Amino acid sequence: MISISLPIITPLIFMVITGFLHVDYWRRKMALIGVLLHTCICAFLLWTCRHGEIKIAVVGEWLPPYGIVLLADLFACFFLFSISLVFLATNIYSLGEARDQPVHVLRIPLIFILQSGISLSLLTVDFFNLFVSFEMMLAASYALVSLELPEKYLKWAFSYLLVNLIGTLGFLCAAAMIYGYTGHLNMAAIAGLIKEQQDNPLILGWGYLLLGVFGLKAGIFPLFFWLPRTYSHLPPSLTALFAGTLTKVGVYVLIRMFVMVLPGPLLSLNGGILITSVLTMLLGVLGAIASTTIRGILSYHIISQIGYMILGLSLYTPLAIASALFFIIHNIWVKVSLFLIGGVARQAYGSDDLKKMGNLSILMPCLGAFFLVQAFSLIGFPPLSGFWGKYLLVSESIRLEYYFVAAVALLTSWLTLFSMLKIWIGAFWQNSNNKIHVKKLYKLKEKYISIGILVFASLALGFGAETMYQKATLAAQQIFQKEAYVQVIFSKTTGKGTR
Amino acid sequence: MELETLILIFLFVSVSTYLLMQSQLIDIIFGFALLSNGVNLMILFTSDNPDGKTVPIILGVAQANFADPLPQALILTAIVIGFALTAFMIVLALRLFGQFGTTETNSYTKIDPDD
Repeated sequence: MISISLPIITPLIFMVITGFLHVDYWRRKMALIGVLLHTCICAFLLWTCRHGEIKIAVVGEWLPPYGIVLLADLFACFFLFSISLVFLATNIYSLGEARDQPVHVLRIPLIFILQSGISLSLLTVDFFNLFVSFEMMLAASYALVSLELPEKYLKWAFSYLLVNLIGTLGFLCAAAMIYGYTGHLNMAAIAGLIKEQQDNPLILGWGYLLLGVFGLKAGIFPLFFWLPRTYSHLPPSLTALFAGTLTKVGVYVLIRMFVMVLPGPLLSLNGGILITSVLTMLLGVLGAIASTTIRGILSYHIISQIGYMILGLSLYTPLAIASALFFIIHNIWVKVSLFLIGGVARQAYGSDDLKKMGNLSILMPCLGAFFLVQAFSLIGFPPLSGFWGKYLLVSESIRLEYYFVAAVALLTSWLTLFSMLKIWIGAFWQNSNNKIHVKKLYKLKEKYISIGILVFASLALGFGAETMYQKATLAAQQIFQKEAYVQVIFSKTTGKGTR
Repeated sequence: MELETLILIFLFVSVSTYLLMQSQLIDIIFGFALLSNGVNLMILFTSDNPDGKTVPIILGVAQANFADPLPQALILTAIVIGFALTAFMIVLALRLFGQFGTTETNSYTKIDPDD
């Protein structure tokens, strides 16, 4: 199946093309074509997997479980498509950014490496391959962070690098341990071997190691310190890109590991994730309330919403995973568009300190409308997309009698409302004597288009909630069925090598 | 050999943990290099003991009882990635040194306007 490897290969081809193009105009055009093509491929993959098909591609025709296998199911395809749309939107936005100031030559090729790495880590079912794809993705992000951070914040690039490197080494340890224990690196083969061993302390320890490693990448409770400081000083299109992709890939791998690979609900581990999720939600939103810049508030909100996603994982029922999936897709689109809106507002005033802004609802009514829709969606007003994800998560935790958790989730929503109103009043409503940089606003067409795509996507998600909910349930039920994966992967019997 | 490898891993990881806690950029870089080597040793340690097994090369007839070749491939990849990232870290440290004139991370906080 060539179509599964296309999301990985296409960005690499465009990385080479844009890396060798010298004319800035053509480089930007090729970048746009590249991300557009990637979005089309991902939409096609999502379409072919819509009834719950599991597709595999065996790299180099080496027989599984020893050959590397790429696997596309509905769960992976949803992530692939929503992240691909983020790449499209931020790329269009950065066309507008390039008018204001020169963009570094390496930015576009690095973004393509990032895209390829993300696609590979969503599609691979091989542990070591997952390590390599994470490295691909993170190496591109290290380079982007250290090229694009302003000089005075450069030390945060170093801490970002160091924190993620230690996480990476932890993941390597986990891969080594599981290989030593099972003799396999293929996730489905491992899942088949250890599915009865819920009480094995080795598996439990392994689970904790994985939680630590991918929790670090996702930014869960004790491990989020690096996130707001690094993200909030990057250019808007990059902040939005990182916010919408990197942490969500961490959550994706966590869900895949805990549901598909590890056996059953591991009781103490799931309790640990539950407590972590509550703390992540609450501390993230409190950090947002304490911030005074738009980017600062939104960066802390990333953490807070990672808490909701992890909550879905810790409840560990198909419905909870489905609602987490719904919430993640909503969150990717809404959060990215909010970062982009914040970028436009910051461009208008030259700063995004809320004390220095104001009047934007009169000066840029369209931007104000976009912000209002997306902010209310983030808070969870019906019938916008955020409501459905949160409603499903809260109702599922009440059904499982975790009343305290449901209460904290609702409290967090309320505090989110507070911090979003802070942005609305500070940037859009209050009167300000500061002059707006009119000269810098001469062309906002690309920026409005990019925000518009995401607003449209999240509105469609909100109004098409019924269809989306059914598909999310299908995807979640699918990843609970380990046997199906084992069957599909071992169904391939012709190829090089022996079992 | 297993006990010796284990002691070596222990030494690598503990020394690198100490180095990573230091405030000098150079110490941190050495700490990371040591830690990645410790993890590579750990991959070797967790794989099967190759004592009494044959070299995994197929000459005509396939033989049983091969030594497992996969850990070496994994370690090789991990070494390359670790090396590249160490190089990247050194360059970043150099830029930080050029920016602040020191490799002492504690003094960066005083220069940063936000903290």
